[in-house]
Amino acid sequence: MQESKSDKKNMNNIIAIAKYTVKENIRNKVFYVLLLFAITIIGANILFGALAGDEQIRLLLDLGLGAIEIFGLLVSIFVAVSLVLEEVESKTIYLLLSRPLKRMDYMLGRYFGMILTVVVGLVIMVVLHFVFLQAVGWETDLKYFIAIFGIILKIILISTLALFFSLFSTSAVASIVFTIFFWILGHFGTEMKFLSSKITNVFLKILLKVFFYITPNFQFMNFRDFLESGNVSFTVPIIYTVVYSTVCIILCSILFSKKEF
Amino acid sequence: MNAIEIKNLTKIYVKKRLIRSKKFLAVDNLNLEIVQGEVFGILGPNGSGKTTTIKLLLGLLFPTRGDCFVFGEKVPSLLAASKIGYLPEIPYLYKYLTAREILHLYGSVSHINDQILEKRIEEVLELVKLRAEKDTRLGEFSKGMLQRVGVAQALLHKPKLLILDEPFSGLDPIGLKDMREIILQLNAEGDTIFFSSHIISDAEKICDRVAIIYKGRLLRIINVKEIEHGKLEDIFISEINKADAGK
Repeated sequence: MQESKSDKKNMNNIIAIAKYTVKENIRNKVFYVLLLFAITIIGANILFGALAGDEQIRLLLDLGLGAIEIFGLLVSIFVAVSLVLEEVESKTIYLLLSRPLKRMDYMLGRYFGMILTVVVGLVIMVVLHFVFLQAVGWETDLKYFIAIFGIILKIILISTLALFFSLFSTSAVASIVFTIFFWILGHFGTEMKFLSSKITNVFLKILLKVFFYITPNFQFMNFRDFLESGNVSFTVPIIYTVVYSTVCIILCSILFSKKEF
Repeated sequence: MNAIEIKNLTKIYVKKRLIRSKKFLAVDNLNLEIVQGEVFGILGPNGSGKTTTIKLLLGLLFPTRGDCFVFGEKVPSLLAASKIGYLPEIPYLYKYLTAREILHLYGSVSHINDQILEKRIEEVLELVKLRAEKDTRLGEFSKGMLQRVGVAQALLHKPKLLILDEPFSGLDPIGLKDMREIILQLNAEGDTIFFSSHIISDAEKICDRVAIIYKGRLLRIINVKEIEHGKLEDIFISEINKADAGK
């Protein structure tokens, strides 16, 4: 009974922290990036409006999906890196952690709030993109939504990693650089594996192997690449995202529990 | 049971450098006991370890040696934290939230029931005279108004112990008077008040006892009622001079 009461308190704390994280981020930054996205899409539409029907749809579809991924990445880095770092720098964290709030609950609340913000941002961009595609006469295709789902998984992974880097280093710039480095590296998993099997230098071989295992493998989530062959499996990417994120969050919690303010 | 017990508390800050770490002794073997229901001031010049002591009491910092107890609970403890109301020197608040939203957040985290919380938010906003501005974002508030939101959040969950870090600094004369009145009123209701300050005249007006600390060390504890009115400043300066001379 006592335990369930305490669980409820923990859950309430996580929800309260997540709620203000979403509110704070939406009022703060995300909408500016979204606005930029909307302008890009509108601009692209006008630019490609001159092209013939089918070409216009194909370009708008590809450009839109690419833009959603890039802007999603921007939003996630923006939100994740400043999530705890900014609170520590502005000292707003004092008034939360001096209350009956477990550091773990704070971390989880901030994390889920961040994921919710990033996913809401992505959904808004997708709706915008979808409306434009419909306006130019695109016929709705399930493949589009499968591709979007892959982007969402990738963005969740990179957000978690960005949060980890922000706790690991004390500077926002270093965290952003690390995150982008891992984002790029994460798209070359197969290449890293191939290189490590070919290379003879032991040190480089080990280094490549280490990077291969610690970087998130985004190739799993590039559903667009597998759609044509029809070999799309959701199980592995979903399990991979959940396990990788859980490990990252556990590491974040350990780092955060040792932090002094 | 004492409201606060500080036993052999030492805090050394270690600044990690590439070659050699730099160490700074902020609190040096501090021992203090604060009785329930008293107003206790911790006095010292800037950099004497007052804020560090407060952060150690709140669990924001971890001691190098020694322990802190709040109502018998060893810090860090969620139970201890639930009995503390904390006001930092500068109110660090989220500028994107309104006064009501931020109080709602702090109230939820302090496990106040939603229905009671709404009523309590109105009460504390009334107390700090901010009821009319409750739906204004904090980014639009003046420094004095932010300080009042800070007071409101500290009182929201009806804490038994108030820990105030430099509560008088940066306040105008009316703000100062209001702050003194709030402290004395809460104390009359049985709350314990622990605050740090370097404004000695204010401490003398409201404290039962004061501790003088310097370079992290406790120099003396003074029962304010036992000294002649207006003499605290002289005692303070003489203790600091003595400590400097004895170096």
